[in-house]
Formats: sequence, structure tokens, C-alpha cells
Amino acid sequence: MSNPEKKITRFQLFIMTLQSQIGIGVISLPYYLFNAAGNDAWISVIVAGIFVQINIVLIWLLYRRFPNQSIFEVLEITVGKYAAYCLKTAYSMYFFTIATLIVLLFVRLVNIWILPRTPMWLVTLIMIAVCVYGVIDHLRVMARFFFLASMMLFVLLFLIVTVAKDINFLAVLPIGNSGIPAILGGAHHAVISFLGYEVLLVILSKSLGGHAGKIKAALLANGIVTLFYTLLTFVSLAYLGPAVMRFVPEPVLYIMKYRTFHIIERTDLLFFSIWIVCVGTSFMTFLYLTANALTSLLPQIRRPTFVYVIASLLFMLSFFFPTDENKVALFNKIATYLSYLFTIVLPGILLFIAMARGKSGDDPV
Amino acid sequence: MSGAVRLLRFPMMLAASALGFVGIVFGLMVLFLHLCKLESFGTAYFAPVAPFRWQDLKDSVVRMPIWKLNKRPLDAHPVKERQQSLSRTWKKRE
Repeated sequence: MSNPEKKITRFQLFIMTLQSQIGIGVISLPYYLFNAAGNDAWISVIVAGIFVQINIVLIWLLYRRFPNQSIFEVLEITVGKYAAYCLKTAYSMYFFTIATLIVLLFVRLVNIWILPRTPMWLVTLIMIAVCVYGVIDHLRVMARFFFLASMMLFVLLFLIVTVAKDINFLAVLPIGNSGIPAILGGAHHAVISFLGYEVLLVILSKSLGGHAGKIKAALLANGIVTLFYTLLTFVSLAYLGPAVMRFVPEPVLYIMKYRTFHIIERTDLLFFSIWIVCVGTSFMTFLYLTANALTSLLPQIRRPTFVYVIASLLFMLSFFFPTDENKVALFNKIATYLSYLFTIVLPGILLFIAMARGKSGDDPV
Repeated sequence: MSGAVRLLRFPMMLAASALGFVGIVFGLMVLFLHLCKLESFGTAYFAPVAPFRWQDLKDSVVRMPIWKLNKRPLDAHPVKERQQSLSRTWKKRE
């Protein structure tokens, strides 16, 4: 790269992790979890959160060995030029897949809930255009915007907490009823909502501060996300009850629909609109990561060029978005397994190779 | 700024009439992204808020008491972080 990127502060690292993680999962997470784990869905969220915490520690261990390199440079040092080339391509494909998944789920939900007669490609185009505008500049701009967007989380939290007085605790009551295998299965379904902490693979080396401070910021961000999702799942489970939960794919929106304030009639639309910002931030993160991976692959081309290329590719893909429930579920499943491969297995292997070959950040590429 | 707000109102209205609440949100996202991008002399436009710094908020929305203002905000890249000695207190013996 011609001009080195400016670094972000530790607080911005925290905000970026938080905003990347909270996003697409907010609306449908309780439904998917309920189908997998019954009325112990909220325990699954906590299990998934702890699992992600461990994963973050793994990523941090890799980072601590290579403090000045992002994952793509680490690849070059540890496995050599040619294998790194393949793996970088794989990483960019993976990030692109998740970005596509985010847009797909978002557009599908907009289509179902707010704008049923607007063509899907139009909403996709607007979403992509807005996010591209954020990503083409340097990382700090994104971090600033993410902080402003995180203010919106308080509104979401407020809306969720206001329904808390109507919940029925009996609905969750036989705790542990569905058994440990079902809870673990639920955690497997929850992982897709936690995606976004992959951003740590890249931005840990692009932020200021000591190693310990960074891991604290990342773990705190994921902890807050876990708490937020747990609250969300718990409230929707206890509010709707197991008999209804089976039939509502968007439980949070249904709750909001019947919760009215004096001056707000359709609270669900308010909730949805604020949620759009959260999805936008997650999408921006993955756009950034994809462009970053491609830049490390072809250093002679500048990152904004790649952002435009990726965005137009995604837009073209949007004409082939499946609307079928089963295909979307399949896509979800593939993305979950890919995320296991790229956020746990590969960093783990890299760390192992680095330790076995005695490589660290000081070694030349 | 009132001129800018007056002109920005029209694209916002278009977005709102075309896409409803979704349009408003996207319009505001573009607006805030643009404001986040602005930098004058190396200082972000949203300075104490968007690159968030709790200590620098002391002078932005609500003005804190004068003994709270001994340190200069970092967004202006001050040469010395501490201000000159205050004129409004008793002169202390050195």
C-alpha cells in the first residue's frame, strides 16, 4: 500500500467488534434457536458466547505472536508464498460469502416485512451503495461511524426492555428441559449471529494500545453482544411462550408490533429501521475485510478499486438471490461451517505452524 | 448551517417518500457517513464524539466548571496538553 493506514484507538476497536457482531441475528435468532433448543434457547446463546470468547483468545494468541501483521501477512510468513496465495483467495471468498449472506437475509426481511412490492435488487443496490460510501475511505471513518451507530443500540435495548414487564417467566421454566445435546445444537445455530469477530483477525494489528488492553476490549465487546442476544432471546421466549414461538420467524418484530407507545403506533417499524443501521455496519465490516484480503493478494491495486469491484459483483449476484426458505437455510448452514474453518481451524493451524517452525513477527516474509 | 440543512431536506424528503422509514434511515446513514469523513486540518468534524473521547466532552455540549478545563482537548492537537495557569484562582505560591 502506498500510504500506511492510520490506526484506530482501543475504544474504537471495542466499538468495531461490537457493531460488527450485532447485526443480522437480532431479528431471527430466537426463532432458529427455539427450533433447535426449545425453551432453553437462551442457554444456547450463552454457550455460543463463551465459545466465541475462546475463539477470540485464539485469534489474540496468533496476533500476539505477530503484533504488526494482519492475518494475510501472517499467512505469508508461516506457510510460504504459494500456499498463502491460495489461502488468501479462500479468505476473500469466505468474507465475500458472509457479506452476501448478510445482504441476502437483510433484503429478504425487508421484502417480507416492510416493502413487499419493491424489487429486491433495488433495496440491495441502496444498501450496497450506502455501505460502499463508508468503506472506500480509511478504517478510522468506519470506526467513527460505528460509534455513532452504536448509540442506536441503546434505543434497541430500551425497546426490548419496555416489554419486559409483560413477560411470563413460567414459559422458560423447566430449565435444562431439552438436554445438553439440544443446547449445544442451538449454540451451533447461534454462531451465525455472532459472526463479525473475524474483524479481529485484521484490525487487532491496526489498533493502538498494549496486547492486554486489546484482548480486554475484544472480550468485553463479545460479552456485551452475548448479554444482548441472551436478553433478546429470553424476552421473546418468555413473552410469546413456546406455543407461539414455533410459528413466528421474526419473534422480536412480532413483539414490537403489539407494543405501542402514545405517539408510536408501529414500534416494529421503528425497531426495524434502527436495526438497518446495525446490519449496515456488519455489512461494511465484511466489505472491508474482503477488500483487504484482495488487496493483500494483489498489492498493486488500491483498496477502493476492490471495494467497487466487490460491490458490483454482489449487486449482480442479488438478481439470483434465492427466496426459498430451504435454500436460505442451506446457505446459512454452509456459512456456519465455513466460519468454523476460517476462524478456528485455520488460525489454530497457523499458530501451531508458527510455534513449530519458530516463526514470529520479526521474521522476514 | 441553516442553508445546508434547508438543502439537505429535499433529498431526505425524496428518500422518505420513495421508501418510507427505510429511506430516511439510508439518507441519514449517508449524511452521517459523510460527516464522519470530513476532516479539517487533521481534526475530525465530529471530533469529541465520533472519535470518542470522554474527557473532551467537558467542553462540547455542557460546559463544565472552569477547574475541570485544565487540560486541553486532544482533537485540536495541542502542543502542551495542560493549559496555562488559571487567572481566576488565587495566585498560589510556587
